[in-house]
Amino acid sequence: MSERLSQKLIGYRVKAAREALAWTQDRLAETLGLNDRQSISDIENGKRALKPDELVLLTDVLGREIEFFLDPFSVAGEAQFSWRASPGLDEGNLDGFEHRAGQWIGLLRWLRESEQGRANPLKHSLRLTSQSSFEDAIARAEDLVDALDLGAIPAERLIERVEQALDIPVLFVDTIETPEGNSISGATCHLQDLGVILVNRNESEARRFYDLAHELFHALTWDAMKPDHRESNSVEDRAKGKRIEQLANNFAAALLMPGKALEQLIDRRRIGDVAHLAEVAAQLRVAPVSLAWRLFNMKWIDEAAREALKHEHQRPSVAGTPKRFSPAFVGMLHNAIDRGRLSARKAAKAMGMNLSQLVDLFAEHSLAAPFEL
Amino acid sequence: MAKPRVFIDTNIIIEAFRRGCWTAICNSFVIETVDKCVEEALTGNPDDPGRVHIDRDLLVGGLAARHAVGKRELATLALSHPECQGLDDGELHLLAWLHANGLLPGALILVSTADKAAIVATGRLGWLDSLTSLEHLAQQSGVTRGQVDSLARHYRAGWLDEIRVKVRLGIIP
Repeated sequence: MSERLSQKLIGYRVKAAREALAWTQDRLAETLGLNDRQSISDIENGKRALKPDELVLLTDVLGREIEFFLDPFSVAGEAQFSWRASPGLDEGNLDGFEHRAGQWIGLLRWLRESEQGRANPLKHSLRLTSQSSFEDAIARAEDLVDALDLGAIPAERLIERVEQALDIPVLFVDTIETPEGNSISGATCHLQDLGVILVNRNESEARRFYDLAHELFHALTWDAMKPDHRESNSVEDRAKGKRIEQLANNFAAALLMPGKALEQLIDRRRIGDVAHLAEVAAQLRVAPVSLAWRLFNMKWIDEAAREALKHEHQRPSVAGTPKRFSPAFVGMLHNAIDRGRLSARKAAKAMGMNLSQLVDLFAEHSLAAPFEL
Repeated sequence: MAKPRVFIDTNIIIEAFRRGCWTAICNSFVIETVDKCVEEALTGNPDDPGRVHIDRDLLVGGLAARHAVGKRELATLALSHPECQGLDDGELHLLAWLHANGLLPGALILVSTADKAAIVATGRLGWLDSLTSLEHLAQQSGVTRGQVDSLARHYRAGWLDEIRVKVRLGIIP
């Protein structure tokens, strides 16, 4: 990671710490004995390098530890999250998990930039706004299926194409779960130079794909339609969501069940055959209830058929539970330790693991640990 | 002849205790470290099955000095050498102290480390020749052959030489 970028990251944290105290740039400039507000603006934008004494002074006046400014994996003041979580999950649990996820994402960003030398200057976005109609969202999703060459079963290649063609990392993680069964389905994390999708790997396969497609909508429309920090992941709440969420749901449905694929897979003579439709849902790796709503909205089936299909059992997952995080992320982590760019202890700490657990993670991805215990 | 000063990090402390050669190396060298490495060595993770119990009195009693590292030392190293940000806290504090005190590269001063990232960072600071291995310290301290042979691979002289050559040739990082 370049020195300039380090300055930029320190700048973000100065801004975050200043804003947490509700200080103006003028007040901070005065406290530091700097001439004007512009100096603070330059520090916060990473345009002006801090001297060691200035950084020490900042820790004192802003009441932060030096590590707050120097931690390479911190995303404080930068990362914005949008979570899909159970309504019953309390804010404290979600905040705690967000802190942990922030470390993973900060580490991921550091690894990408260490390997590639710089952040990707390009960012993809969907041509949609909050004024767009549901039909627009559906049309964009169907176009994206073609643009990404996702084929007749979009779920099959979705992760690979999102990571490689759209440059959006997808991490499969163990999220928190309360005794009441309240959990987190997934999230989008937005940084200025990176978007990351998190998916709860312990959800059913159909739900994982649905969450991924839904979060992809947020990742690709963040600038035009910033989502709320938190939204419900309950199926019952799906229809009651805000317009952005409804757009995301329509997009996700069309991405996983594009019209062309439905034409190809569904025998229209058997449109009333619930077993046939459930089989198609399994082929598309979506839940029967998702296909039911998609076909109902397309006016292919009536309300009675929709209700019948909703009650069909979901078929067992084809691929099982995904490995933790992603092969690309764990591969970069392995490489950074193996090449001496990152200490094993530092890596373990950022991952929230001990060294033995880090060895287990590498083993899960068929990698020999690049260090010895 | 004066005993050489040796600055050690957390990994070295733990491995020296694991193999039972701590006291011997403390008798043969002037062993110094920083507060953070002492803290890390004593804390560890109680749930880690491979955790080594470190006797506080034995650890502190063996040290010729333990140094407090201030914010200024950390800020100076981190701002002047951003490549050090991949280091663990203990390693970072140790290098920050050495950097601030201008002790390296002195011929009689050795830094002993087992972590590849620490070796790379030490090389970037121009101190690659100051590195030594725990195996070397143990051999010089009259530790038994069996204890020396029981050291993990990355505490051996051969491993350090291999990594040092890779750093010099630009094979890593």
